[in-house]
Amino acid sequence: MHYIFEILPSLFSGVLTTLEIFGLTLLISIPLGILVSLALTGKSFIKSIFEFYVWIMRGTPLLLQLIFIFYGLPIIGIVFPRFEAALIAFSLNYAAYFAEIFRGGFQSIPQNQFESAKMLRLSNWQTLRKIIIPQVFKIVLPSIGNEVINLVKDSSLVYVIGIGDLLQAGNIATARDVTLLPLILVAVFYLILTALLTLILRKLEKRFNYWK
Amino acid sequence: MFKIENLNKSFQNKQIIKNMNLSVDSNEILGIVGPSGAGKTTLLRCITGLESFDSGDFYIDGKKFDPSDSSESLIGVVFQDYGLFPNLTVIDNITLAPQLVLKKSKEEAENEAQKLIDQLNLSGKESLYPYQLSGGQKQRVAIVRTLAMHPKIICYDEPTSALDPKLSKEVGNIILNLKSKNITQLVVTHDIQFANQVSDKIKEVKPI
Repeated sequence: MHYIFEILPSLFSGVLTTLEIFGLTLLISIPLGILVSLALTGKSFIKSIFEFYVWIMRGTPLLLQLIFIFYGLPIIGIVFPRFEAALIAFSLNYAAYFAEIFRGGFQSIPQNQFESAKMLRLSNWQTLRKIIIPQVFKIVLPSIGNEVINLVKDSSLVYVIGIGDLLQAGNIATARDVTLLPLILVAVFYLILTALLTLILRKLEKRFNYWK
Repeated sequence: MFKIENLNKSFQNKQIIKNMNLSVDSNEILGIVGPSGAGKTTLLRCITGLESFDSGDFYIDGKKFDPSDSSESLIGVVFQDYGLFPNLTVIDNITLAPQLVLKKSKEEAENEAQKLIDQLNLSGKESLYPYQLSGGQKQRVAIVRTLAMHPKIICYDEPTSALDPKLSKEVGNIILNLKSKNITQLVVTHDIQFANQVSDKIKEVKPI
């Protein structure tokens, strides 16, 4: 027990880093994903550019993207601090997944919603904000929830660029003290985080249940 | 007075509407009838600007207008499937556009909506969502929503297709009552009997 209290502070500081990456990534990648999904439903040259972006982001490992941004880009003179590099890699990667989810959501909105809004002379922005996005959110929430849970676990990949997250804190303690306990504690932390998120997502889904 | 001159519309070289002319007076109800595939709905979509057309001129009260230009609230549509917004209550479905587009205050929009709601027998349904309404109620909400924008012309696309005979008659009466509001109404239907019930005149559309 004494040992647990001894390593808890370092684990907590790791949790904070994990949560920071998690929260900021969501904050950036969800709006970015919505914008990209709108570009993906268009018909122009821009659409192909964003399709290419989604292909790259979903077609290569997130780990590679992290390494590329932090260790690779400095070779051509583009240097990001560790945390910013992680944030860029995660946001770009997750925005691509969110974009595909939102694209599916937008496409499942019946055409009559757009036409009704047009006949009522709502602007495109008003239509999106008041009619389409609330409906899309309800449709995509379960898929977004999956990605959100994935993101908590994926955030552990930042160890590769030397950021002290939860996993790294546990890993260091295990290597130093030759005991499994820190790793088990790390697992417990992740389980608590994902359980909390699952609960929040369920609540959110329920809140959107007021209409069908 | 609403007038169309020499309207032509084709889809991939197949002519759907050929040199169509029609005119309807204010207060008048025009029934547009014809078999499926005759181009009735396409005609309605051209009038409302939801579909482009190859050539033709549109006039309201002698003034030429472009259906695709949505800067003025000239034409309203009651869609076949009503097109209500499922995420909004009845009252919000009706007052959203008057507030956002006509810049009415919430109170003003709701007061006006309430009058129409009472007229069309929807009292008590204000805070319900569309999924909680019957087909006939949904349609009346769609009509109120269109009326709240004060259009000069209202188009109905197959207004009775999903209704039983009793409700069809009710919708017919609503349409007839709206004549007093100085609105031109175009009713697209394959139901000749219904067209005869409501229309002052009938335009028959035939497949080309």
